[in-house]
Amino acid sequence: MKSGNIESKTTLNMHYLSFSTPFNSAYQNLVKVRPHQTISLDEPNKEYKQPKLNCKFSEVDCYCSDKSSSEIFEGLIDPTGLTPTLIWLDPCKLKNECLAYFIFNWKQQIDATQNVALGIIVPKVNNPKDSKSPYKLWRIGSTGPLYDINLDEPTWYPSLARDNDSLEKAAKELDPYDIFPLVEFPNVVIQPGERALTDHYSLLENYRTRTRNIINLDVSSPCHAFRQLYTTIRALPKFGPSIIQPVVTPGGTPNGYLTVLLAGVLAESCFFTPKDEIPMSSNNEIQGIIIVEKCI
Amino acid sequence: MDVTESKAYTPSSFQRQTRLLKNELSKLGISISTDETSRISFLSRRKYDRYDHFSPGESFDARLLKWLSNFDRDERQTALEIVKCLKFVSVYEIKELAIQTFETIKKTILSEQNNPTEYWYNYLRLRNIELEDGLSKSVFVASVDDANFSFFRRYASRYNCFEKDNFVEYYKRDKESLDELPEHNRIFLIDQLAGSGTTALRNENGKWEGKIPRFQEIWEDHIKECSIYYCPYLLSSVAERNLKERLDEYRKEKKLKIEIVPTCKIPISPCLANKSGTDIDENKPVSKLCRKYYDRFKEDIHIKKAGPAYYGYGRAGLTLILQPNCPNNSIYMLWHDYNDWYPLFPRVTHHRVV
Repeated sequence: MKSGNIESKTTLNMHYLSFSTPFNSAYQNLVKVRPHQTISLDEPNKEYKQPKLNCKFSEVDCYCSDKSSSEIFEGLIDPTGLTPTLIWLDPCKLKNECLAYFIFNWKQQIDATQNVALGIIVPKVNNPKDSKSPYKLWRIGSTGPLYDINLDEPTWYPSLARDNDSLEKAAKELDPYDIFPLVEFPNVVIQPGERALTDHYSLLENYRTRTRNIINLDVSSPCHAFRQLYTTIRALPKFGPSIIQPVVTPGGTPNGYLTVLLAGVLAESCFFTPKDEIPMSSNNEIQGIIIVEKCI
Repeated sequence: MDVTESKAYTPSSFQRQTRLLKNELSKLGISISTDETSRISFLSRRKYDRYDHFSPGESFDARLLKWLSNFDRDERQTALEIVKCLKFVSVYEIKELAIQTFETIKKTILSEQNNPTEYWYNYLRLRNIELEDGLSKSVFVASVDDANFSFFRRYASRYNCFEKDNFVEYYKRDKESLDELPEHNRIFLIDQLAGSGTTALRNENGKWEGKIPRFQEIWEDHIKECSIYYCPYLLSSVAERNLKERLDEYRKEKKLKIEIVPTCKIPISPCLANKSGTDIDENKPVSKLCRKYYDRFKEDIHIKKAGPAYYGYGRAGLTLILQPNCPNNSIYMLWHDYNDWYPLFPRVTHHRVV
């Protein structure tokens, strides 16, 4: 039970492991999501390759399939919670909306006492390519993404790793009250020239974005980056006279993208992304695993 | 003129500032696109104007025009290439580096664990217990007075339990006070920047000098059986190469377990680097400019320790500016003020030259 902005007693714990950490426990499941990673039980999606993990494989229907069910975790977990379960989710080939829906359902359906953690595979690919589709405002509801949303004064958290043209078009569409740009800093190698910031000078100057608004996300430590953004969005007043309506646009490296998406979904913010964008198109190499647990 | 142009910090005033800067640069004989000028104007408003040693009201744009006047007219275009390659690290970013350094330290401790990984649930629990144990037996020591160490300590203590004595504000302490240290098996020596590695470790006529030998000398009774990690927030590629070679020898000679754990690496500036980025290309126009104006620079006793500083102290070849002070590893033309040279980012030297 929550009241106003008071946090519930359940907390989220996030871990990031390099993929060299194998687990052989039977109490883990890799969930394949229909219709993206498999077309049906008999007809696999030939473009999707299953990651090599020592675990059971289960297939579930996404909200966007005809057989959509909100009880997607039924049968995958020990309902008593005596045996902790790890559910693996591979974002490869999943649309933003479907990925967010799966995470949202984990948040809504799983109780902390059930001991079900979510393990998200982080592929080792170059920065996901920006989709050319127009940006669309959406948020996740219990039946899937909801698109017809009107926000009076959205506060926008866009990743500056996206290209400037698409962000400028998006800004005109969204007309944000304020912008809090997300910048991946520090990187393992710091390049002189500050291109990551100056590529967006017109957006930041036109919207009079203050320098102190810039949020540096340390994506080499996803736990820290997640905690930083999640607590920021959670702390925003969602009721009362100073209501703030956060809108997130993830982007950048797979680590950065997934961390921002995860923080946005779990903190129940809106999203502003190209419709049906598929951010991770390959899982040929895997760089790590994000594990999120609910704790009391 | 648009009415809003007369107000500072509006989109129109940005365009006006860009237009004026482009005009002034053109008067100095520099051809530059509007896009490039906008980038410089943007960074000057957002970052450069906040350099700690600018006087109140002083702006980067004004200093830039004056600094370019140090050079002959036909050299100014080349000098502007240095400005395009600047990397300015703000105080806010230095704090982010402090945070990442602590996170990197946690990863270092975790990487030394060898927990059974059959069952993920037990693995995560054990991992956290051992991390807490590893952190509580660690001592964090500042090896420089401007590494935002108090912020580092507060960040580290926010999520973990430490005793006050797990943090030592400066490595130069009297030996008696070190008896108060908690039980420890790891020491993390925190530094802001290793630009060439010379200040950290060097061999002068067969004798080891620098922060690391000095630390070993003061702390000798408290580092037996300890692993030592030298953790600079920023490690230049030149320092990485130098320290790797020197530490190999130092370790053998002193029988010390010491590793470098950098937070970020910073390469030689593109305006000076060769194609592979591994060394200075002496034929680059900026390199030639560095050599031409070297007679205006004055080598003091400290600079001489690392040889001629044509491309910054220790030949680091950086175009790095830290908001609190410009490092001497950056190109000397950016920061020195000898012989009426006008610096772009005036530097306050750490060593008093008598």
